Amino acid sequence: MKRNKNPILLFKPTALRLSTTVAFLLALFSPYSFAEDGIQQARELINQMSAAGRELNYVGIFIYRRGNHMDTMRLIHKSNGEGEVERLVSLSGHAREVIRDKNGVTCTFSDNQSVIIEKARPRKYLSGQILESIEKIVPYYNFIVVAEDRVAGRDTWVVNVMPKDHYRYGYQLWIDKASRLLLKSELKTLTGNTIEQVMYTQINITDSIADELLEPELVGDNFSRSEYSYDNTNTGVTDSKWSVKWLPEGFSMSEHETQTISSNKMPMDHMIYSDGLAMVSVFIEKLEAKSGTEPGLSRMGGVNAFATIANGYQVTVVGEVPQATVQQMALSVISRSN
Amino acid sequence: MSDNIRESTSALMDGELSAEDEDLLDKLLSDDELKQKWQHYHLIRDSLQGHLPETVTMDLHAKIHDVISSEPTVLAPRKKQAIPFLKPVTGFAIAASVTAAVLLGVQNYQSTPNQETTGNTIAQQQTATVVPPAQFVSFGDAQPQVNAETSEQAEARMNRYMMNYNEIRANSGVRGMPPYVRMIGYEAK
Repeated sequence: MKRNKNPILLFKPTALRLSTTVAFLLALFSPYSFAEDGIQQARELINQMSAAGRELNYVGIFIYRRGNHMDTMRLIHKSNGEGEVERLVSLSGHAREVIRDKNGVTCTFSDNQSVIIEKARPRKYLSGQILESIEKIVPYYNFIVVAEDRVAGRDTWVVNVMPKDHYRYGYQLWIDKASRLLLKSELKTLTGNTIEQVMYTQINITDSIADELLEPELVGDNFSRSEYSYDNTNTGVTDSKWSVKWLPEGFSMSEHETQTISSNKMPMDHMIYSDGLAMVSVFIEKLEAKSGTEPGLSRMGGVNAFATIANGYQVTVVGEVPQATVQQMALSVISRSN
Repeated sequence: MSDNIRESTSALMDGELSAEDEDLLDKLLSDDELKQKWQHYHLIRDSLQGHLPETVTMDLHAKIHDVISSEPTVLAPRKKQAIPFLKPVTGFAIAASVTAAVLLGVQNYQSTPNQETTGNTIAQQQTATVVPPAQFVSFGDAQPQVNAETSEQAEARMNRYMMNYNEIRANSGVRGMPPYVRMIGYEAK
């Protein structure tokens, strides 16, 4: 086997600037603990990346790829004092659109002619959570800035976030040096398989976004509509009647809400678990008429779900985590009451 | 660290150590600094390589995907169906075997020490409170007589869950990929 002096050359595709990358590596092996600085830098970049994604105004086109399937989409993101407004449009395949704002989310699908609307929850998520998250994440992932690269014509830092066990996914993130926006990302398993990719081909960062960019193109007047609004009683993390006994290390419940869907009187328990980076939702519903989703695994790109039914309740665990995680969590749910 | 040792370490990683370098192994075992460097090399290499062999799970998914995508297109007018929102891992039997394969690869877990009052386990009707690891639990035992929902109802339910999940994901935690990309990009087959 031909000896490779530089491990960077094993990276495919090799669009990296080798000289700078070698400098990186050499710096890593210097007597100073640049390794620690590298980790600190990586964490800081991720913080900034997350903030930039929420706080900047930008319009971009990206490719979404999973397995052999590719799609392109346009994203328009606006942020002002009132919060975010965001519109995502499919540019390939069936016309689909999502618009999010402070009132809720509207998804319009042309392929089956349906509109799904979810009203916003009354509570707010604090962006301060992000900084907390990073501190919480550190024991369960390795962070490292590994290289520089170019995406959408812009210079980026490449940051790896690698899980320490099989229960979470890892990420390779290309972060724009100028704006800290995430321009390319790959979702990876612990063993390095890529599950999904998102890569911008164009991005424009602007001071403001014209209103017409956020108007829906896909108008679903004749489409079937489903509307969900929630009377959320945010009961806090300790009050759940249910508990998930098995969790990967570092996961804890960050939110618990009881949702009553207006069209359906049965309340649903929704618990959110997180290790600071990965999030998993556990939905528990009492089933009417003894019917429920067929149990088992399903997936949509990087999101896996596992449904199981017992004692007249359906337990569904959904998250951007490996199948083993959603499955084991679902099977370990117990109720505290009888 | 001298260049010689650095080069030798790199060679050792690539499996190309020659006989005269074997004392490097002894050095590696005894020198803490060297051990650290070793870990760094591996960290970087592992994070950049993307060519590791596929897991059983991924192979099965690929085969299932091929089967589904080779089915003939239906030319009759389409009824109003819910989007097959989440691609199921085909039928229950296959889901089971995929699961078993996945679980076999999963490391043993210790039951969590902090237990609240034990209650009825939802997944098992027995009194056991902890699901043993790496053991495939047969759903047939745990499931009472339940009629599967129509596929439309099931899709609607899963749609609702996914909307919920996406919105949580969009509003909290680290923002990475744009939210809802998977819903917009998912193509029903």
